[in-house]
Amino acid sequence: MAVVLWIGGAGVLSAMAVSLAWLGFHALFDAGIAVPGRIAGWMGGSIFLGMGGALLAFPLAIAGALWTDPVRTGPLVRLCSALPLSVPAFLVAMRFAPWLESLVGVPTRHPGWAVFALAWGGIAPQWLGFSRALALPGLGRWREAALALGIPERGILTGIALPAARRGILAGWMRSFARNCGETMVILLVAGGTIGGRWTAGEALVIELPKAELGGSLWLDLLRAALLLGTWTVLLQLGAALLDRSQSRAAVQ
Amino acid sequence: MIDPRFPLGRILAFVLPLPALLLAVFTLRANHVASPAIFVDPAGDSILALPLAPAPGDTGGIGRFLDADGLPVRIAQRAVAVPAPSTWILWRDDAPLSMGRLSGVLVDAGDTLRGERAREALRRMPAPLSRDEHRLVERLRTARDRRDSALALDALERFLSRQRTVVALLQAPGRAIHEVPLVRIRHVEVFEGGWADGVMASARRLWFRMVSTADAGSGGGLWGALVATALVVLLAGAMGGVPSLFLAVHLADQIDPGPAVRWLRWASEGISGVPGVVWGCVGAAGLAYFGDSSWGHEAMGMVPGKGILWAGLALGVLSAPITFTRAMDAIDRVPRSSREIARSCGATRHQVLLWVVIPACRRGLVGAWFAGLARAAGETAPLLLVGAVGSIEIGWHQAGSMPSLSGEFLHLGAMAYEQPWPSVQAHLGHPLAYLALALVAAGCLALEWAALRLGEVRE
Repeated sequence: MAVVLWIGGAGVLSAMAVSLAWLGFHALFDAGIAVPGRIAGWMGGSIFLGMGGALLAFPLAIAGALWTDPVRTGPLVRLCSALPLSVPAFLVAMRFAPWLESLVGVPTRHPGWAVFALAWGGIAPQWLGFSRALALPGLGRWREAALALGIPERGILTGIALPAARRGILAGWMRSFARNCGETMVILLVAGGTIGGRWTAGEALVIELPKAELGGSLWLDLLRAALLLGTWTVLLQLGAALLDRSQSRAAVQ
Repeated sequence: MIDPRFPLGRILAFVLPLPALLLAVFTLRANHVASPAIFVDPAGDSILALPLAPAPGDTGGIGRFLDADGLPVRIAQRAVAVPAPSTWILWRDDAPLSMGRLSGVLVDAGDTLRGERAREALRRMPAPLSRDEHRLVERLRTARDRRDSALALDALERFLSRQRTVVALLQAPGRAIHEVPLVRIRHVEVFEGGWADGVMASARRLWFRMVSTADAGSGGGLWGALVATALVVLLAGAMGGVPSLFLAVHLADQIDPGPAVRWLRWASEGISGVPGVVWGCVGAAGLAYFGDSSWGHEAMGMVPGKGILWAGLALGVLSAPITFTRAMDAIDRVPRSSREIARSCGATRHQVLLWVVIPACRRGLVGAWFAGLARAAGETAPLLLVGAVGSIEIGWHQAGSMPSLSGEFLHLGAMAYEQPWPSVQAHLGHPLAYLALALVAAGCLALEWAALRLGEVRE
C-alpha cells in the first residue's frame, strides 16, 4: 500500500513538475511575445506592489520582533502568519476604503489600498522571520555582557543585535517580498482589476487565462508571465535561504 | 528581544490578531438578526429569524411569501445582471436567490399556469400589502409585544390557510426545470428582543447559513461551498501531503544525508515560495491539454482543466514542499544517537525507520501534514483558474448537492470574492461573503494551530 502510494504520489508530482517545465520552456522559446512590454508591465506591477507592501510592514514587524518576548508571542505570531492575506484585503475593500472615501474622498479603488492590505497582512510573516533571525545562539549572553559593561539598550540594539542578525532580517524581508509579489486575491479584492491602469502578473493570470484561446498568443504570454513569476519567487526564496545559512554559520563561528 | 517589558511590544502583539478579530466582529454584525423579529421553523429543525421591520428597499413588510426555507420571497424581473429578458429572479431578503427561465407557475397543488398567465400570476405578487397581510403584521407585532408565541403562530396559520400554494417553475440555461415552493411554514417563535436573545438568534442564523441544504435551484446557505472546499483541501492533502510525508520518511532512512537529500531540501524551500496562482495556471493550462485531448475528454469524461480533482492536484503540488520541509524538520529533531544505537544493536534500516524514527516523530509528521493543509485551505486564486466559482448564476444550483469531481464547483474563498460585487442587493451577498471568508480564516487558523501543537514547533 505504502509503495503504491509513494509511486503514485511521486508520479503525480513529477508529472506536474514536468508539465510546468515543458510549458514554461515552450512558452519562452517557441514564439515571440504578442504585445511588447506586456509581460514586463505585469511583472513590474507585481514587484512594485510587493516591494511597497513589504517596506510598509517592515517597521512594525522589526519593532515587534525586537520588543516582544519570542517565547510568549511566538505561537501567536506563527498562527497569525497563517491567516490568508484575503482577510485584511477584504476588510480594507469592504470597510476601510468606503469609510475613508466618504470621510476624506480617497477613491476606493486606489492602488495605495492594495499596498496597505499587503502590508497589514505581511506584518506577521515578517515578524516571524525577524524573530527567527534574532534568536541567535549566544545573543542573550552578549546582551548581558554588554549591559555589564554599561552599554545602554539602544547601543545593544544598534551595535550588537541588528548587525548580528542583519542577514536573517534581510532573509525574512525577502520572503515577505516574494510572498507579496505572487499575491493575487489582495489585488482582486481591493483594486478589482486594475492598479493604476496596469495589471499585476497574478491578476492577469486569473482574469485573462480563462478567456485566452488555448495555445494562442495571449495564452502563451500568460504562461511566460507565470513562469517568470514562479522563477522570480524561487530566486528570492533561495536567496533568503542562502542568507539564513550564512547567518547560521556566522553565529556558529 | 531587547526588553520584553517595553510597552510597545505589548501594543504590537495586539496588532497581529486584529484582522482576524475584526473579521469575526464584522461577520457577526453582518449576520446579526434585526430586532424585533419572529422565528420561523420551516422544517422542524432549522429556525430562522424574520425581521418585522422592513429591510432596506423592501416594500413588502415581513415578506409577502415564504419559501421552502421559511424565508420571505419577493419576485423581480429585469433586475441587475439578468442574462436574458426572459429570465426571472426569485430573491429572498435573507438568503440566496434563484434564477432561470420561467416555465410555469403551479397554483393550488396541480393547476399549472403557463406562458403569459404564469408571468402575470407572478407579476401580481409584489403588489402592496393586502388587508389580510396588514392584519397579519399587526397581529404579529401584538404577539411580539406580549411575548406570545401561540398568538403569532395562530396569526400565521390563519393567514396561510387563506393563501394559495404557489410553486414557481424555473429553468436555468442548460439545466432541468426546478421548483421553487413559495409557501410552507411549520413553527413560529416570538423573538424576545433582548441582548442575549439577539446573540442566540444571530448564532442560530449563522449556523443555519452554514448547514443549509436547500433544494437545488431554490437557494441555500454555504453548505455546498463548505463541502467542496473541504474536499479540495483533503484531496490536496492526499495528493501532495501524503507523498511528501512518504518521501521525507524514506529519506530519514539515511543516517548521513548525501548531497541529493540536501539538494532536495534546498529545492523544496525554493519551490515552497512559488505563488499559488502559478500552480493554478499549471493546473488550468497544462491539464487543459490533457483534458482537451480526445482520450482525456472521452475516456475520462472530464471538463478540461476544471474541477475539484484538478483543484486538489494544484493545491497538492502547492502544499507538498511545505509538508516536506516541516516533515524533514520533525525528523531532524529525532536524536541521531538513537538511530545509531538501534543500528549497532543489529536493527536493519527498515526496522530503525519503523521502530525508532517514525514513533519518535509521528506527531511532527502529522503536524507537517496539517501545515500543508493550512496553506492549501487559504488559497483561492489558483482555484479560480480551475473552476472555483462563487457567483449565484452557477453556484447556487449546487448549494445543496455534493460537488462533482469535474466541472465548476463552489468554493468559500471564491464566494468571498464574488458575492459582494455582482449581487443585486448588498444585504444578500455581504453577510454570506463575510461568513465564507470567516470560515476560510477559521479553517486556516485551526489547521495551523493543530500543526503547531502536533509539531511542537514553538518559537
